[in-house]
Amino acid sequence: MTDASLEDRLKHLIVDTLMLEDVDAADIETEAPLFVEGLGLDSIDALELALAIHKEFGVRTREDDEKNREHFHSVKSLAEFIRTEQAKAAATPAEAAPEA
Amino acid sequence: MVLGTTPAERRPDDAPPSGERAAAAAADPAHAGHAVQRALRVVLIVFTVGLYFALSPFGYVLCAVVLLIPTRDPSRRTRRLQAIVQVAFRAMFSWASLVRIMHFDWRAARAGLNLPPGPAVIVANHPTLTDPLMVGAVVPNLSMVAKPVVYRRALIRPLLRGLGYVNGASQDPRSVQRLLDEAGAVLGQGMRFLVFPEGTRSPRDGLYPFGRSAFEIACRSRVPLISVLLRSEPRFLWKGAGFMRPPHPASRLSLELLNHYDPTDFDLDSRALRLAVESDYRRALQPPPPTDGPPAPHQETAP
Repeated sequence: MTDASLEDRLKHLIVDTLMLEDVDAADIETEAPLFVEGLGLDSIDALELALAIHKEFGVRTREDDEKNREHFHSVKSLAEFIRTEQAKAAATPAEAAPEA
Repeated sequence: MVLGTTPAERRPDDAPPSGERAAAAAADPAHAGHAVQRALRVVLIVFTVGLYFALSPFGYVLCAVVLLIPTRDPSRRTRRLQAIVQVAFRAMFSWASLVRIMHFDWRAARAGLNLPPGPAVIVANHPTLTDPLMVGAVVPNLSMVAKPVVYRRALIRPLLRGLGYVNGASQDPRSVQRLLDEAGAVLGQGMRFLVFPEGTRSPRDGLYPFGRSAFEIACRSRVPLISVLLRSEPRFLWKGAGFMRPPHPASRLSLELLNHYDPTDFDLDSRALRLAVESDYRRALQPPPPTDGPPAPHQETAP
């Protein structure tokens, strides 16, 4: 999987998960804000997106992570977050096994 | 050079800087009277805050006693605590009206609200710091969201939990799931759940965009959603304004029913419900059309 495909997968995941009927995945700008301005997503969208990312990529947010808002700022920041977490998981495979 | 707002930029209910106040007071006896009343109100506010700190420990002890009494039905204990807190809120507003810090007729607001029995999500705009207390004084069996920073305080947390208050969502998007579940459990006990959908106090003119949590809670729990309109005229304790800048005349607070919504009318779609409720608020908060201007041109309508 190339870096670019992760961003594209995220864009499709956003459109499919949040059922954004009038938004095409290709129209989502990689660096544009996802919340309030930009796509105009809200806290419930963030919850659904976080659950979908966990299911799709095996990556989950942590309650004590003060950078959660930064991770969910844009497709680009989400992709970076997923790459970082997947790299951590690869380094410690026993701890990072996906939940049943 | 002194930086700040010019008189033209300030609202009528803003207190002018002390230098301007003194100059205006010297020139205008009526303004001097207002300045004296405003100063007296500041003294009464300081006295009231002191009174709160003197009396509140007794309230906390009473609540602690209720919390410690064993019960087979925790929701009954929650209702008792909510009733105690409601009495405290009402007493606070009665006192504030008596000493003319601000006026809120909670009896009239209660009579006008005519709430249906049973669980409901209540949403409100948020013009002032006293809004949760206003709704709490009027609506029985009320639970609400507490800010995580408040909920984390070890001494307060048992009381908030006893009252059925729910810890607000943290920065983790998944914490919203916990908020939805806990709010659903509160509604399942037949209580009302208050949410300020703007998430913070309203801006001076209008509203911030509404979040979706309140509407999602109503849709998931399939309970009515009731919107109430809060006003504070002249505005007091808005975001960024301190206790020590009371308006003149004293602020009049009001709470009125805006609308009832059945989530099933919106196919349990929280986005559609939010859109309808937010639109109703924006209409209700529009300033009235000017009455002393030139008459509006007559508009022909097509047959």
